[in-house]
Amino acid sequence: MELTRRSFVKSTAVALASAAAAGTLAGCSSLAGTGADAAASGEGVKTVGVCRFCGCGCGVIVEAKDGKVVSVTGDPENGSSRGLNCVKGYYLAGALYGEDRLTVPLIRDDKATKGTPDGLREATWDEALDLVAGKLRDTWKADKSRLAFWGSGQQPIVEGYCTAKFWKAGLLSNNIDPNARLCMASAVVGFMNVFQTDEPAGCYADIDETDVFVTWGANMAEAHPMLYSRLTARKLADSAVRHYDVTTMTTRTSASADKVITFRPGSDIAIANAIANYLIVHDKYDHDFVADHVQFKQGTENIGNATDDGYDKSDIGQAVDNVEPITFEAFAARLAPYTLEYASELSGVPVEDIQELAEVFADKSRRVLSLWTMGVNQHNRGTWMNHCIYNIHLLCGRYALPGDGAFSLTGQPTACGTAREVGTFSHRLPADLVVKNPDHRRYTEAVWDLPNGYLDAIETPGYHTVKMFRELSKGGIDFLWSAHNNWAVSMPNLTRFLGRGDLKGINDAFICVAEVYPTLSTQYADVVLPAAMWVEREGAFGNGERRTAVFEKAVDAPGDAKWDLWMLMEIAKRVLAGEQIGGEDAFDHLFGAWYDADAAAFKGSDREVCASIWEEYRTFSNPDLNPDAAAINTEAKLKMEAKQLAPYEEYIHNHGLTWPVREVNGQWLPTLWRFCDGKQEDGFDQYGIEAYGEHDKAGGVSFYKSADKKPSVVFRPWEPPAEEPSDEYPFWFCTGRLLEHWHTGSMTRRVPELDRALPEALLDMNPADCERLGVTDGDRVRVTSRFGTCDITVSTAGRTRPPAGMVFAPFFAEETLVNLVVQDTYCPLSKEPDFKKTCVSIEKIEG
Amino acid sequence: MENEKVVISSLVVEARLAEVEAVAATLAQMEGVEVHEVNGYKIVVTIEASSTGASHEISSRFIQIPGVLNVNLVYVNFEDETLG
Repeated sequence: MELTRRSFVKSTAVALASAAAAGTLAGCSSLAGTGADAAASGEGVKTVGVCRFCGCGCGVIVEAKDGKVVSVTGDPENGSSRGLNCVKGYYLAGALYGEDRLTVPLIRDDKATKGTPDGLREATWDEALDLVAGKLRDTWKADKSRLAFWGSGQQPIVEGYCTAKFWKAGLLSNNIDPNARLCMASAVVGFMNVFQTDEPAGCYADIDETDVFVTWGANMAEAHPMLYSRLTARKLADSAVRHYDVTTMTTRTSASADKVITFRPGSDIAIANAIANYLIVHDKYDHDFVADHVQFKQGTENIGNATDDGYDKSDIGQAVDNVEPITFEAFAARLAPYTLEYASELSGVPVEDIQELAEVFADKSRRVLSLWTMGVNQHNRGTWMNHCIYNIHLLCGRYALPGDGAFSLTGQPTACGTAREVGTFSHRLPADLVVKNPDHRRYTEAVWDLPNGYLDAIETPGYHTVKMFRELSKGGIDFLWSAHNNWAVSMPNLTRFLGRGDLKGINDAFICVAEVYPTLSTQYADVVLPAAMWVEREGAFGNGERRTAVFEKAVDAPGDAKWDLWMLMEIAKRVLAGEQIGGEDAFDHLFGAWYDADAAAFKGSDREVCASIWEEYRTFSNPDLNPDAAAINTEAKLKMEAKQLAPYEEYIHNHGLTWPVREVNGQWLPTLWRFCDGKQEDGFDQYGIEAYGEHDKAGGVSFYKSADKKPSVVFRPWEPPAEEPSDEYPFWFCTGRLLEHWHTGSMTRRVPELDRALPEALLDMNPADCERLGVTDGDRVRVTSRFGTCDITVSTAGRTRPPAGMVFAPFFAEETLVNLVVQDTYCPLSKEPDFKKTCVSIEKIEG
Repeated sequence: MENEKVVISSLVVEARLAEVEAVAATLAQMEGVEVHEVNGYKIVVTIEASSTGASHEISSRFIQIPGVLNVNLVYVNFEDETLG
């Protein structure tokens, strides 16, 4: 770089960071129009974007020059991140420009080469698309229970929408599920069971307003750095602010905690129940809030564990969703056994610590914010633990209030926006609708202009993720298409799913993988479709606080890599050739508004295509745009506009908006605090409450989406983990994510130097355990469970500090492949696997 | 230095208030790192390094400095790297 340019770039860098640091984080908004705009100084073209990585949804300004991205700046106008990014921002360019980027379609001719880096040859798009579409069509015509799509919480919104539409309306198949099943499903089922709506009531601004943080099974410092930054900023701004870290091991998140409450794996429900019991026994719950807003229930108990293939269809598996109403007194009686002493005995947490935490919730002079992630969700009772957190918050009147709430954090950039809001799950339709509800199917038929009753063919949910891969491994799947994920690294129990021992299932199936880089999953692919990535096409993400944000196209994709949406259209066109819906060509009927099948091209620019699809999708939450949908909405009382989305352009102008977005005097105004009464202009849910809710209820909130406007407090007992340490497998094994490497590292491990920061997956161990086993830092050990084995290097200086009897490893490294060891037991309600509590043995590898 | 390849980034490092000056001093001693400003518990720094990877490697070491709570990336220019 020339000196003058270097000087300019550096002064820009300093000015931007200085502005970001000035005053509060919110002060960053003063940068608008000066900082970010000045960054380019007219040299590059700037576009608005959203970070590609975690669920925080940080805004970025992308600068491109000569067809390449040349700089990235935290977007001060993005309401989620306010100008800050974490160090993963460094990868945003590296992720695009790795040397081994896939740029041409690849075909495997010899299935015997599966599981190796070899065997893929270059092909034309026509050959690859014909092959994939032919296999899909053959499978579809022969037995559509044997086809599957595995998507992602990283699949942008309109792409997820079109995929769901193709699968559900085009193929009449529910065998579609996202990798969000692995991270958010327990949160989703918790939301649906408690509130009958899948959404957090709060927002990230709660972090700036609360007085006490309680993190439950969450390592925000590593997994949600920007939000953790807001947490520490809040603590630093007010020395009275407290943080309780409720965890199974010390992590970087514990650094800001005033008290770290370390519990025995799986005992969190006992602690939560003891807190709820304490609040009732000591009459420290919020009587008015409970009277106005809560109904009590209990559900099926002693539900065992979903480890065996037959669980879902077993009597208990079929009964897990059942609940029945009970009185408050009955609820209190169910909680009564959960004394502080009993919880202490189960959890190993001192009685006084549980009592202290209970008193935090009891003290109404201070606001309390619970935050949680995978420790709660990836749990053999994940849905139940979500319930238990809401139980506490609802009992003490701390929900849906600024700074006073319970907030489930999201792991992926659009797990909410696509997997959940669009509904790319095996049991869902767009906008919280589910396949088994006839009114929901009618509504979807109206929006998609399908004949009445057309979707009755999909009233039964399809394969959830674990079921899908179990079927694959057993030879029950003939066609699998995966996109925006890397299942051969991220799925639990890979020993089974990668066909170790019996390769038949994975070898016989035809597997299509859309990818940007070679991964372990592409090694099992019959066809690899090279995808355009991130800002190489336009897209939108929906983050953890209901914020939808668009990332504009900034550069072209390399070589022959194509937009996933184009691949989908081309495959759908071929598969649906000759098919009809309502007497019309099926493809044109479903996708003709934005795709010209004959020309093999979109009808318009990326922007126009995204806007066109968005406008159709938006009809789900704006029934007035479709008279038939509006009639069903009224008749069936669906309240679809309760999740109202704005016109597409609004998201670009506003750098993202949190739904519901309401049109007020020609302006579209977001909602930050859902179900909370107040002015829409100030971020409250004014119009939702006016339309459906009630004013002047306790706390100034009204849960108008819930049955009888009352969320459900459901008693959930403590039941033990699926397996517990034994002589044979004496250690708990917990897996997770660390800051540097996003998920399976397929993007973040591209730049060789980056590996120096976190070169390999290490097994974090307690020094006492190391001493007992005679291993030291750097030693190689073999980790073995009932499921499988992997070899890994030991560290006592790692980023997590497990207690004795527990070990931790991140899952990013395909060369280590810790998921060979991890159980595929899942929460019976959410079908989300428990990645946190596999029991293992550890032995030193000599030599 | 003319035409040397460089990636320039700026960050806001957050530290415990009592340790912020010591953290700033430690940061300033790191190669390629320049401290521009201390604003309360926030330290404004730039990193100049030969590549994105090297920049990231340096920034990753910040969290190991006693007292550092958070490292936020604000801006990164990698035009030398991507335009090559």
